[in-house]
Amino acid sequence: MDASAGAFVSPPDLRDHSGTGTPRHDPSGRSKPGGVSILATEERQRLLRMEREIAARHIGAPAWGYTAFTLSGFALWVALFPLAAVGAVPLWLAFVVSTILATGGYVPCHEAMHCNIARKGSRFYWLNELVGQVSTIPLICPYSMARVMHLEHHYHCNDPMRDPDYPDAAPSAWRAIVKTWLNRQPRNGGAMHNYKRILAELGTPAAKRAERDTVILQLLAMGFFFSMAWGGYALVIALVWWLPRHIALSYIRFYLSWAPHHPRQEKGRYGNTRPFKSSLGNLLSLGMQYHVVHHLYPGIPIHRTRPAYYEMRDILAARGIDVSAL
Amino acid sequence: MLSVPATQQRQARQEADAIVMQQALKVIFFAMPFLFGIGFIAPVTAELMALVGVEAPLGLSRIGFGLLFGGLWGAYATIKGSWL
Repeated sequence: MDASAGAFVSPPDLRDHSGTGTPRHDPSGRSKPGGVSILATEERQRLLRMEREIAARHIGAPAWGYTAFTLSGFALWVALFPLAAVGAVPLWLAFVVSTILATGGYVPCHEAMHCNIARKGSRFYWLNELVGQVSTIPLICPYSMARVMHLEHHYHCNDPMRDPDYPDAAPSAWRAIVKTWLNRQPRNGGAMHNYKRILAELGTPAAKRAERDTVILQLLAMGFFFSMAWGGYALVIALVWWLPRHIALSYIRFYLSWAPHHPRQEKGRYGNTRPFKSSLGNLLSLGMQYHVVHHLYPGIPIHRTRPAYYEMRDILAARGIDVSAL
Repeated sequence: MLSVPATQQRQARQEADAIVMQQALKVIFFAMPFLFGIGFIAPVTAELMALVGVEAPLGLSRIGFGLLFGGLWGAYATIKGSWL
Protein backbone atom coordinates (compact mmCIF):
# COMPACT_ATOMS: atom_id res chain seq x y z
CA MET A 1 0.00 0.00 0.00
CA ASP A 2 1.42 3.37 -0.96
CA ALA A 3 1.71 5.49 2.16
CA SER A 4 0.50 8.57 0.36
CA ALA A 5 -2.63 6.87 -0.86
CA GLY A 6 -5.63 7.75 1.23
CA ALA A 7 -3.49 10.06 3.27
CA PHE A 8 -6.19 12.68 3.58
CA VAL A 9 -8.88 10.77 5.29
CA SER A 10 -9.99 7.42 6.51
CA PRO A 11 -8.86 4.16 4.95
CA PRO A 12 -10.03 3.83 1.35
CA ASP A 13 -12.01 0.68 2.09
CA LEU A 14 -14.16 2.65 4.50
CA ARG A 15 -14.61 5.71 2.34
CA ASP A 16 -17.60 6.60 0.30
CA HIS A 17 -17.34 8.50 -2.95
CA SER A 18 -17.55 11.88 -1.29
CA GLY A 19 -13.99 11.41 -0.06
CA THR A 20 -14.87 12.88 3.29
CA GLY A 21 -13.86 9.87 5.24
CA THR A 22 -17.39 8.72 5.83
CA PRO A 23 -17.73 4.95 5.95
CA ARG A 24 -20.03 3.05 3.64
CA HIS A 25 -21.08 0.83 6.46
CA ASP A 26 -21.31 1.63 10.12
CA PRO A 27 -18.33 0.29 12.02
CA SER A 28 -19.33 2.43 14.96
CA GLY A 29 -19.31 -0.24 17.56
CA ARG A 30 -22.83 0.91 18.42
CA SER A 31 -24.26 -2.37 17.36
CA LYS A 32 -26.06 -4.96 19.36
CA PRO A 33 -24.80 -8.53 19.26
CA GLY A 34 -25.71 -9.93 15.91
CA GLY A 35 -24.98 -6.66 14.13
CA VAL A 36 -28.34 -4.94 14.70
CA SER A 37 -27.69 -1.22 15.01
CA ILE A 38 -29.12 0.64 17.98
CA LEU A 39 -29.96 3.56 15.73
CA ALA A 40 -32.35 3.19 12.85
CA THR A 41 -30.75 3.36 9.43
CA GLU A 42 -32.52 6.61 8.54
CA GLU A 43 -31.38 8.21 11.76
CA ARG A 44 -27.79 7.12 11.19
CA GLN A 45 -27.86 8.51 7.69
CA ARG A 46 -29.30 11.79 8.93
CA LEU A 47 -26.58 12.07 11.58
CA LEU A 48 -23.94 11.21 9.03
CA ARG A 49 -25.16 13.94 6.68
CA MET A 50 -25.04 16.48 9.49
CA GLU A 51 -21.60 15.27 10.51
CA ARG A 52 -20.32 15.62 6.95
CA GLU A 53 -21.75 19.10 6.58
CA ILE A 54 -19.89 20.24 9.67
CA ALA A 55 -16.69 18.51 8.61
CA ALA A 56 -16.85 20.10 5.16
CA ARG A 57 -16.69 23.54 6.78
CA HIS A 58 -13.35 22.69 8.42
CA ILE A 59 -11.61 20.38 5.95
CA GLY A 60 -9.05 22.25 3.92
CA ALA A 61 -8.79 25.16 6.35
CA PRO A 62 -5.56 27.15 5.85
CA ALA A 63 -2.64 25.48 7.57
CA TRP A 64 0.28 27.72 6.67
CA GLY A 65 1.10 28.30 10.30
CA TYR A 66 2.43 24.75 10.52
CA THR A 67 4.89 25.46 7.73
CA ALA A 68 6.09 28.66 9.37
CA PHE A 69 6.46 26.94 12.75
CA THR A 70 8.33 23.98 11.29
CA LEU A 71 10.81 25.83 9.13
CA SER A 72 11.60 28.53 11.70
CA GLY A 73 11.64 25.95 14.50
CA PHE A 74 14.02 23.67 12.62
CA ALA A 75 16.36 26.57 11.85
CA LEU A 76 16.34 27.51 15.53
CA TRP A 77 16.92 23.89 16.57
CA VAL A 78 19.95 23.58 14.27
CA ALA A 79 21.28 26.92 15.51
CA LEU A 80 21.07 25.72 19.11
CA PHE A 81 24.02 23.36 18.61
CA PRO A 82 26.68 25.97 17.76
CA LEU A 83 25.08 28.54 20.07
CA ALA A 84 25.19 26.15 23.02
CA ALA A 85 28.63 24.84 22.07
CA VAL A 86 30.22 28.30 22.18
CA GLY A 87 28.24 29.28 25.26
CA ALA A 88 26.20 32.00 23.53
CA VAL A 89 23.06 30.26 24.84
CA PRO A 90 23.06 28.61 28.28
CA LEU A 91 22.83 24.87 28.01
CA TRP A 92 19.71 24.70 30.20
CA LEU A 93 17.92 27.16 27.93
CA ALA A 94 18.99 25.25 24.81
CA PHE A 95 17.65 22.09 26.45
CA VAL A 96 14.26 23.65 27.21
CA VAL A 97 13.88 25.17 23.72
CA SER A 98 15.00 21.97 22.01
CA THR A 99 12.53 19.89 24.02
CA ILE A 100 9.67 22.21 23.05
CA LEU A 101 10.68 22.18 19.38
CA ALA A 102 11.13 18.41 19.23
CA THR A 103 7.77 17.81 20.89
CA GLY A 104 5.79 20.50 19.07
CA GLY A 105 7.41 19.54 15.78
CA TYR A 106 5.40 16.37 15.64
CA VAL A 107 2.14 18.29 15.25
CA PRO A 108 3.00 19.78 11.84
CA CYS A 109 4.45 16.43 10.80
CA HIS A 110 1.13 14.86 11.69
CA GLU A 111 -0.67 17.42 9.54
CA ALA A 112 1.71 16.66 6.67
CA MET A 113 0.98 12.93 6.98
CA HIS A 114 -2.65 13.72 6.20
CA CYS A 115 -1.69 16.24 3.49
CA ASN A 116 -3.44 18.98 5.42
CA ILE A 117 -0.75 21.53 4.56
CA ALA A 118 -1.11 20.93 0.82
CA ARG A 119 -2.95 18.18 -1.03
CA LYS A 120 -1.19 15.71 -3.29
CA GLY A 121 -1.11 17.09 -6.81
CA SER A 122 -1.44 20.67 -5.67
CA ARG A 123 1.14 23.36 -6.37
CA PHE A 124 2.48 23.39 -2.84
CA TYR A 125 2.55 19.67 -2.15
CA TRP A 126 6.36 19.81 -1.99
CA LEU A 127 5.97 22.12 1.01
CA ASN A 128 3.73 19.56 2.71
CA GLU A 129 6.45 16.95 2.21
CA LEU A 130 9.22 19.32 3.31
CA VAL A 131 7.41 20.04 6.57
CA GLY A 132 7.01 16.32 7.17
CA GLN A 133 10.64 15.53 6.37
CA VAL A 134 12.10 18.27 8.53
CA SER A 135 9.90 18.09 11.57
CA THR A 136 10.78 14.58 12.75
CA ILE A 137 14.56 14.87 12.40
CA PRO A 138 14.92 15.85 16.08
CA LEU A 139 13.07 12.64 16.93
CA ILE A 140 15.40 10.57 14.69
CA CYS A 141 12.32 9.10 13.08
CA PRO A 142 12.02 9.65 9.33
CA TYR A 143 8.83 11.07 7.94
CA SER A 144 8.36 8.03 5.68
CA MET A 145 8.30 5.73 8.72
CA ALA A 146 6.11 8.05 10.78
CA ARG A 147 3.59 8.37 7.96
CA VAL A 148 3.32 4.68 7.12
CA MET A 149 2.88 3.80 10.78
CA HIS A 150 0.40 6.57 11.45
CA LEU A 151 -1.77 5.65 8.50
CA GLU A 152 -1.71 2.02 9.63
CA HIS A 153 -2.84 3.28 13.02
CA HIS A 154 -5.82 4.96 11.36
CA TYR A 155 -6.66 1.91 9.28
CA HIS A 156 -6.46 -0.54 12.18
CA CYS A 157 -7.00 1.59 15.26
CA ASN A 158 -6.87 -0.45 18.50
CA ASP A 159 -6.24 -3.74 16.71
CA PRO A 160 -3.66 -5.49 18.92
CA MET A 161 -1.83 -6.99 15.94
CA ARG A 162 -2.21 -4.33 13.26
CA ASP A 163 -2.26 -0.99 15.07
CA PRO A 164 1.42 0.05 15.36
CA ASP A 165 0.62 2.14 18.42
CA TYR A 166 -1.06 -0.65 20.34
CA PRO A 167 1.99 -1.29 22.59
CA ASP A 168 1.23 2.09 24.21
CA ALA A 169 -1.82 0.57 25.91
CA ALA A 170 -1.59 0.81 29.70
CA PRO A 171 -4.10 0.71 32.55
CA SER A 172 -3.20 4.10 34.02
CA ALA A 173 -1.56 7.38 33.05
CA TRP A 174 1.53 6.78 35.16
CA ARG A 175 2.04 3.30 33.83
CA ALA A 176 1.56 4.66 30.32
CA ILE A 177 4.35 7.21 30.89
CA VAL A 178 6.70 4.52 32.17
CA LYS A 179 5.74 2.27 29.28
CA THR A 180 6.64 4.91 26.70
CA TRP A 181 10.20 4.54 27.93
CA LEU A 182 10.17 0.77 28.37
CA ASN A 183 8.88 0.42 24.82
CA ARG A 184 12.02 2.13 23.53
CA GLN A 185 14.39 -0.43 25.03
CA PRO A 186 16.48 -2.21 22.38
CA ARG A 187 14.75 -5.58 22.34
CA ASN A 188 11.72 -5.57 24.59
CA GLY A 189 9.14 -6.20 21.86
CA GLY A 190 7.68 -2.70 22.18
CA ALA A 191 6.93 -0.04 19.64
CA MET A 192 9.93 -0.47 17.34
CA HIS A 193 9.52 -4.23 17.33
CA ASN A 194 5.90 -3.72 16.34
CA TYR A 195 6.87 -1.23 13.64
CA LYS A 196 9.37 -3.65 12.12
CA ARG A 197 6.90 -6.51 12.13
CA ILE A 198 4.16 -4.43 10.51
CA LEU A 199 6.56 -3.04 7.89
CA ALA A 200 7.63 -6.58 7.00
CA GLU A 201 4.00 -7.67 6.72
CA LEU A 202 3.15 -4.70 4.53
CA GLY A 203 6.09 -5.29 2.21
CA THR A 204 5.09 -2.32 0.05
CA PRO A 205 7.52 0.10 -1.61
CA ALA A 206 6.52 2.70 0.99
CA ALA A 207 7.25 0.25 3.82
CA LYS A 208 10.64 -0.63 2.34
CA ARG A 209 11.44 3.05 1.88
CA ALA A 210 10.46 3.70 5.50
CA GLU A 211 12.75 0.94 6.73
CA ARG A 212 15.66 2.18 4.60
CA ASP A 213 15.17 5.80 5.68
CA THR A 214 15.08 4.75 9.34
CA VAL A 215 18.37 2.88 9.07
CA ILE A 216 20.04 5.80 7.29
CA LEU A 217 18.74 8.44 9.70
CA GLN A 218 19.63 6.42 12.79
CA LEU A 219 23.16 5.72 11.53
CA LEU A 220 23.68 9.38 10.59
CA ALA A 221 22.38 10.53 13.97
CA MET A 222 24.56 8.09 15.88
CA GLY A 223 27.57 9.10 13.80
CA PHE A 224 26.85 12.73 14.65
CA PHE A 225 26.36 11.91 18.34
CA PHE A 226 29.61 9.97 18.61
CA SER A 227 31.78 12.40 16.67
CA MET A 228 30.43 15.44 18.52
CA ALA A 229 30.70 13.70 21.89
CA TRP A 230 34.30 12.67 21.31
CA GLY A 231 35.00 16.12 19.92
CA GLY A 232 34.31 17.64 23.33
CA TYR A 233 30.61 18.45 23.00
CA ALA A 234 29.08 15.44 24.72
CA LEU A 235 26.94 17.46 27.13
CA VAL A 236 25.79 19.75 24.33
CA ILE A 237 24.54 16.78 22.32
CA ALA A 238 23.08 15.14 25.40
CA LEU A 239 21.08 18.21 26.38
CA VAL A 240 20.21 19.62 22.96
CA TRP A 241 19.30 16.41 21.16
CA TRP A 242 19.45 13.16 23.14
CA LEU A 243 17.45 14.06 26.24
CA PRO A 244 14.93 16.35 24.46
CA ARG A 245 14.28 13.54 22.00
CA HIS A 246 13.48 11.07 24.75
CA ILE A 247 11.24 13.51 26.58
CA ALA A 248 9.50 14.41 23.32
CA LEU A 249 8.94 10.78 22.35
CA SER A 250 7.41 9.97 25.72
CA TYR A 251 5.25 13.11 25.66
CA ILE A 252 4.06 12.41 22.11
CA ARG A 253 3.36 8.76 22.86
CA PHE A 254 1.42 9.70 25.95
CA TYR A 255 -0.70 12.48 24.48
CA LEU A 256 -1.09 11.36 20.90
CA SER A 257 -1.43 7.66 21.52
CA TRP A 258 -2.32 6.65 25.04
CA ALA A 259 -4.61 9.45 26.23
CA PRO A 260 -7.04 9.69 23.29
CA HIS A 261 -7.30 5.93 22.77
CA HIS A 262 -7.39 4.68 26.32
CA PRO A 263 -8.58 1.99 27.13
CA ARG A 264 -8.10 0.74 23.53
CA GLN A 265 -10.96 -1.74 23.69
CA GLU A 266 -13.15 -0.63 20.81
CA LYS A 267 -12.17 -0.64 17.16
CA GLY A 268 -15.23 1.02 15.68
CA ARG A 269 -15.35 4.46 14.10
CA TYR A 270 -17.20 5.98 17.02
CA GLY A 271 -15.56 3.98 19.74
CA ASN A 272 -11.82 3.86 19.06
CA THR A 273 -11.13 7.37 20.36
CA ARG A 274 -12.43 9.31 23.33
CA PRO A 275 -12.73 13.00 24.11
CA PHE A 276 -10.81 13.71 27.30
CA LYS A 277 -10.04 16.67 29.52
CA SER A 278 -6.32 17.25 29.86
CA SER A 279 -5.02 18.86 33.03
CA LEU A 280 -2.49 20.67 30.82
CA GLY A 281 -5.15 22.10 28.50
CA ASN A 282 -5.65 21.59 24.79
CA LEU A 283 -2.52 23.35 23.57
CA LEU A 284 -0.09 21.50 25.84
CA SER A 285 -1.81 18.22 25.12
CA LEU A 286 -1.00 18.95 21.46
CA GLY A 287 -4.67 19.37 20.55
CA MET A 288 -5.48 15.79 21.42
CA GLN A 289 -8.55 16.45 23.59
CA TYR A 290 -10.61 16.47 20.38
CA HIS A 291 -8.80 13.58 18.73
CA VAL A 292 -12.14 11.90 18.05
CA VAL A 293 -12.78 14.50 15.35
CA HIS A 294 -9.39 13.78 13.81
CA HIS A 295 -10.13 10.08 13.54
CA LEU A 296 -13.52 10.75 12.00
CA TYR A 297 -12.18 13.37 9.59
CA PRO A 298 -8.37 13.43 9.36
CA GLY A 299 -8.64 16.14 6.71
CA ILE A 300 -9.62 18.64 9.41
CA PRO A 301 -6.43 20.39 10.59
CA ILE A 302 -5.70 19.93 14.27
CA HIS A 303 -6.42 23.58 15.14
CA ARG A 304 -9.94 23.18 13.75
CA THR A 305 -10.82 19.99 15.61
CA ARG A 306 -11.94 21.94 18.65
CA PRO A 307 -14.62 24.07 16.93
CA ALA A 308 -15.60 21.07 14.82
CA TYR A 309 -16.02 18.99 17.97
CA TYR A 310 -18.39 21.48 19.59
CA GLU A 311 -20.42 21.74 16.40
CA MET A 312 -20.59 17.93 16.21
CA ARG A 313 -20.96 17.31 19.92
CA ASP A 314 -24.68 16.42 19.90
CA ILE A 315 -24.23 14.17 16.89
CA LEU A 316 -21.33 12.38 18.55
CA ALA A 317 -23.41 11.94 21.69
CA ALA A 318 -26.23 10.48 19.62
CA ARG A 319 -23.69 8.08 18.15
CA GLY A 320 -22.93 6.86 21.63
CA ILE A 321 -19.67 8.68 22.28
CA ASP A 322 -19.23 9.81 25.88
CA VAL A 323 -18.87 13.56 25.47
CA SER A 324 -19.22 14.37 29.16
CA ALA A 325 -15.53 15.26 29.52
CA LEU A 326 -15.77 18.22 27.15
CA MET B 1 30.44 -25.08 -18.76
CA LEU B 2 27.36 -22.95 -19.26
CA SER B 3 27.91 -19.22 -19.61
CA VAL B 4 25.72 -16.95 -17.48
CA PRO B 5 24.52 -13.74 -19.14
CA ALA B 6 26.21 -10.58 -17.84
CA THR B 7 22.92 -9.10 -16.64
CA GLN B 8 22.20 -12.16 -14.51
CA GLN B 9 25.72 -12.09 -13.11
CA ARG B 10 25.31 -8.44 -12.22
CA GLN B 11 21.92 -9.09 -10.61
CA ALA B 12 23.32 -12.01 -8.61
CA ARG B 13 26.24 -9.85 -7.45
CA GLN B 14 23.87 -7.06 -6.41
CA GLU B 15 21.70 -9.48 -4.46
CA ALA B 16 24.77 -10.91 -2.72
CA ASP B 17 25.95 -7.39 -1.87
CA ALA B 18 22.51 -6.56 -0.47
CA ILE B 19 22.58 -9.64 1.75
CA VAL B 20 26.05 -8.76 3.05
CA MET B 21 24.89 -5.19 3.71
CA GLN B 22 21.79 -6.42 5.56
CA GLN B 23 23.86 -8.73 7.71
CA ALA B 24 26.35 -5.96 8.49
CA LEU B 25 23.53 -3.63 9.46
CA LYS B 26 21.97 -6.30 11.67
CA VAL B 27 25.27 -6.70 13.51
CA ILE B 28 25.70 -2.93 13.86
CA PHE B 29 22.19 -2.42 15.20
CA PHE B 30 22.44 -5.43 17.49
CA ALA B 31 25.64 -4.00 18.97
CA MET B 32 24.32 -0.42 18.95
CA PRO B 33 23.83 -0.23 22.75
CA PHE B 34 27.50 -1.16 23.23
CA LEU B 35 28.58 1.31 20.55
CA PHE B 36 26.39 3.92 22.23
CA GLY B 37 28.04 3.11 25.53
CA ILE B 38 31.55 3.79 24.31
CA GLY B 39 30.65 6.36 21.66
CA PHE B 40 28.35 8.54 23.70
CA ILE B 41 27.94 7.54 27.34
CA ALA B 42 31.71 7.47 27.89
CA PRO B 43 32.40 11.08 26.86
CA VAL B 44 29.17 12.28 28.55
CA THR B 45 30.34 10.63 31.79
CA ALA B 46 33.78 12.21 31.50
CA GLU B 47 32.33 15.67 30.84
CA LEU B 48 29.86 15.32 33.71
CA MET B 49 32.66 14.34 36.09
CA ALA B 50 34.71 17.32 34.95
CA LEU B 51 31.70 19.61 35.36
CA VAL B 52 31.14 18.64 38.98
CA GLY B 53 34.87 18.29 39.72
CA VAL B 54 34.89 14.57 40.50
CA GLU B 55 38.04 12.55 39.89
CA ALA B 56 37.90 9.02 38.52
CA PRO B 57 38.59 6.17 40.96
CA LEU B 58 41.41 3.60 40.72
CA GLY B 59 43.78 6.12 39.18
CA LEU B 60 41.82 6.13 35.94
CA SER B 61 41.40 9.18 33.78
CA ARG B 62 37.86 10.51 33.50
CA ILE B 63 37.50 9.29 29.95
CA GLY B 64 39.01 5.95 30.96
CA PHE B 65 36.38 5.62 33.67
CA GLY B 66 33.74 6.75 31.18
CA LEU B 67 34.80 4.03 28.75
CA LEU B 68 34.68 1.42 31.48
CA PHE B 69 31.28 2.57 32.73
CA GLY B 70 29.73 3.18 29.29
CA GLY B 71 31.26 0.05 27.81
CA LEU B 72 30.00 -2.20 30.59
CA TRP B 73 26.54 -0.65 30.64
CA GLY B 74 26.32 -0.79 26.85
CA ALA B 75 27.47 -4.42 26.83
CA TYR B 76 24.84 -5.23 29.46
CA ALA B 77 22.14 -3.52 27.34
CA THR B 78 23.31 -5.35 24.22
CA ILE B 79 23.14 -8.73 25.89
CA LYS B 80 19.93 -8.13 27.85
CA GLY B 81 18.12 -6.04 25.24
CA SER B 82 17.32 -3.39 27.81
CA TRP B 83 19.23 -0.61 29.55
CA LEU B 84 17.57 -1.53 32.84
